[in-house]
Amino acid sequence: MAITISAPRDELQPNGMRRLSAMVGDQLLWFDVPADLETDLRGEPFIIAALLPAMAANQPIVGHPDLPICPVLREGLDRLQAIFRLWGPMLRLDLRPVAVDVPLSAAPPGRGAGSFFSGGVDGTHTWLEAPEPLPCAVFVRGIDFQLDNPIYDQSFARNAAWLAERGTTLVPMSSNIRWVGRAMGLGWNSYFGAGLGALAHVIGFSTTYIAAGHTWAELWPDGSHPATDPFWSSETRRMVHHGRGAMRWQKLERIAREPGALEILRVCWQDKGFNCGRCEKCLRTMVLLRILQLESPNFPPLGDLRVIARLVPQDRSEAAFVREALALAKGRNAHEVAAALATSLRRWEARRTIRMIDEGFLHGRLGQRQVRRPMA
Amino acid sequence: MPNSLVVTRYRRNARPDTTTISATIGDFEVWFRGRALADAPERGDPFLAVALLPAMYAGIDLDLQQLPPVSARLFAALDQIQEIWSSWNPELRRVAIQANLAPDEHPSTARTATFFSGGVDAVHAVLAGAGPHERLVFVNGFDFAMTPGAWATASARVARVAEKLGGELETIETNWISFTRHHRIARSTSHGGCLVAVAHLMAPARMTIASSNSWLRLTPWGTHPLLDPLWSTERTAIRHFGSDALRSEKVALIAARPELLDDLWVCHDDPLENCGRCTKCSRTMAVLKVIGVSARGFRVTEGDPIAAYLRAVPNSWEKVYLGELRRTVQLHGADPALLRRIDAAGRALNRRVALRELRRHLLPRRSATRATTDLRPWGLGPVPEV
Repeated sequence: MAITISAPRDELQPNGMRRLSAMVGDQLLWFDVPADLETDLRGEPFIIAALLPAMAANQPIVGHPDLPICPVLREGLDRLQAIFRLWGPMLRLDLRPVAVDVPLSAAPPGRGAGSFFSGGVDGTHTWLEAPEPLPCAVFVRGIDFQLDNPIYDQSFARNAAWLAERGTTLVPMSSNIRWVGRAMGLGWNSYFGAGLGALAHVIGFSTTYIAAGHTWAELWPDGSHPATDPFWSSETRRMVHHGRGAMRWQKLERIAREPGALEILRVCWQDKGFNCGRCEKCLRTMVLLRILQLESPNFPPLGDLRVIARLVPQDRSEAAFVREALALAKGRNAHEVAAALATSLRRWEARRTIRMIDEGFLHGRLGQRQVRRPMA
Repeated sequence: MPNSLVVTRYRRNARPDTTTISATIGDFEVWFRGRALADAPERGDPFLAVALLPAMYAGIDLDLQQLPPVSARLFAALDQIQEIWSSWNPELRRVAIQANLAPDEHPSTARTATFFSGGVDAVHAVLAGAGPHERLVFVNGFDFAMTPGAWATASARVARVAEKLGGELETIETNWISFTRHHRIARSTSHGGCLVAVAHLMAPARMTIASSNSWLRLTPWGTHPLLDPLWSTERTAIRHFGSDALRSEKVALIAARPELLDDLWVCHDDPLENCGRCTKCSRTMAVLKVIGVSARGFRVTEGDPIAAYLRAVPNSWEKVYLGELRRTVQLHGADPALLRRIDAAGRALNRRVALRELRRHLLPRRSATRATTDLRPWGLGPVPEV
C-alpha cells in the first residue's frame, strides 16, 4: 500500500476563486486562491501534506507524474524524516521513515517575500519585525477559522485595511489541509508546520516567514520548529522560522506601538466571536494586556483574576506562557496578577508531580489524561 | 568594570614543529598551538568565538578592532547567535561588537575535518559522515587540561582509533579551559567557542562538530545543531552532525566494527580509559550488552552491565537515554523481562523526581538549589524543558 498523489485539478470555482487540488491517498486536498494569483499546480504542496501521514501509516509516497517537486525539497524530506522519526513518541505518534517516489523538476521562481497574517500576536509581530519589507501576506480560512465561520470575512477586512495602509496586500486563501491531516491521524499541533509549508508553496512567496509561537528556550518537538521549517523549502521558495528571539509579552508590546494593531488583534481558536475571552489563548493574551496596561477592544476586560488562578495549563507549552507572564507580572509589580498566575502554575506543577507519582508508585493506574500536547 | 572587552596582541609564533597563535582577551592571553596551525589564516574569527560569551556575561561590548579582520558572513550572524544565547540564559546580554570586516574568501587550506576525541559521538561522525581523507582533530585543554604524560597516552589512544578509521590525526593544544574558568563560565556553556576557534584557525572547507545529543534533546548547550552552523565563515562551514541518531544507534554502528571498541573513549571521569563505573560507561556497556557485543575497552566488565546501569540511573538526564535503551531492546529481540526491568528503572526515576518536586513544594527553603558558581547554559534555574 502507498499514499499516492492522484487526480490533480486546477479549476475555477463558482465563487471566483481558483481551486488547486489532488487526492492525497483517499483524501481530497484543496487550496483556493484568487483566480488572478500567478501560481502553478505542482507537487510540493501535496507531497508535503503527505509526508507525516505517510510516516504515521508506514506507507511510501508515490507522486503524480504531472506534479513534480524541486530536488531541494526532495532532500529536505529526508532531513525532515530523520527528525520527525525521533520526535514521533513525543508527539504521541509512531513515525517511520518511508520511501518517496516523486518526479523532480526545477522549482518556478518565487514571487517576493511574505508571511502568514491572521491579526494574532505572533504573525503581526513577524510582519512588523521581518528583516525585509513584505509586500504580501496571506490569511488562510480553514487554519485559524473553521471553513464556514463568517467571522473570517470580518477579520479579513480589518486585517487587509490595516496592512494596505502599510503597503502590504493581504491575499485570501482557503484550504481543508488542517482537516485532511486530522482525517489521516495527525493533530494540528503536530502537522501545522507541514500545513504552512504546503500553503506557502501554493501561494508561491520566494521567502515565507513563519511566525514562531515560542522562544529559543522552548525547543521541544513541535509541528513548526526552527529545526524543521527550513526543510519544507524548495530552491526558490524558502521557509524562514521567525520570531524566537522575543517572548510573547515583548511581541505584544511591540505590536502595541503600531497604531491600530490592537484593534485588529485576534487570537482565538474557538469560533465563538472574534475572541471568546474564555479560552486559554484569550486569557493568556488578556492577562498580558493587563500587566502591560494595554487595551484591545477585541477582548473583554480581565476583571476577576480567579479565572486566571483556576487555569490549569494542559501542557508545557501553556505552562511556558504562564511562567513568562508570571515573571513579567513580578517585574512590573502587578502583585495581584502575579499571585493568580502563581496559583495557575502551581496547578500545573502539581499535575505533573501527580502524574510522576502515578507512574512511579501506581503503575499509571490513575489513568491517562487527554492532553492536547504531551507533557515532559 | 571596563566599558568593553578588548582583544589585543594578536601573535603568531611559528617554529618548524609547531605554530602558536594567541591573543589577549581583556587581561588573559588565550593561545592555541599545533603543527596544523602553520597555515592558519590571519583572521580575528577564532578570538571572536572565544571572547563573545565572556563579553555577554559581563554585559560589555566586544572590541576586536586591534585584530585581523573578521568574516562578514559570521559578523552578520552574530545577531542571531546572541539572540539564541540571551534567550537560553538571560544572564547573557546582547552586546555590540566592533571588528574589522572582510569576507574570508580564500580557498580553504585543507580538506574537511572533524573534532575527534575517540568517543562515541566523534567516531560515529567519522563513520557516518566523513569525507575522504578526513582530518581528525584532537584538542588538549578543551575537555581536560592534561599533563604531558596523560596527553601522550590519550593522543596515542586516539591515534589508534583514527588509524583504524583511515583519518589523519592532528593535535591542538590550548589554554582555553583555563580562560573559561577564569571567567566562571561552565565548560558546558562555552565549549563551542573553543571548537569554533580551532575550526577557524585550521580553516578546512568544512569542520564537523559531533552532536552530543539527538534531536530529542535540544537543551541549551555549548554546541548545538541550531547554533553551530551560524559560526560558519565564507571559507569554513561549521557542521553539527549526528543529531539524527540516538546514542544507542551510534554505539550499534560503531560495534559493527568491534576493533574500534578497544580504544573507544566514553568515560565521564577518566580521560585516559573507561572506568566502567560512571553513568556514561555503564550506559554504553548496557547498549553493547543488548546488541550482543562484548564491552571491550572498559575497565570493569564483571557483573551485568545492564543491571549496573539501571541501578545507576541517577537523575532526570538519564530519562532520554533510558528511553533509548528501551527502543534498542525492542529492536533486538524485545526481551519482555528486560523491558520490565527498564520500565521499573523508569518508575524509580519518576519516584525520585516526584519526591524531589514534592519536597520543593512543601519545603521550598530547604529545597533551594545551591547556586553554582559557574555560568551554566541555562542560567541558575532548573534545566529548561526542551
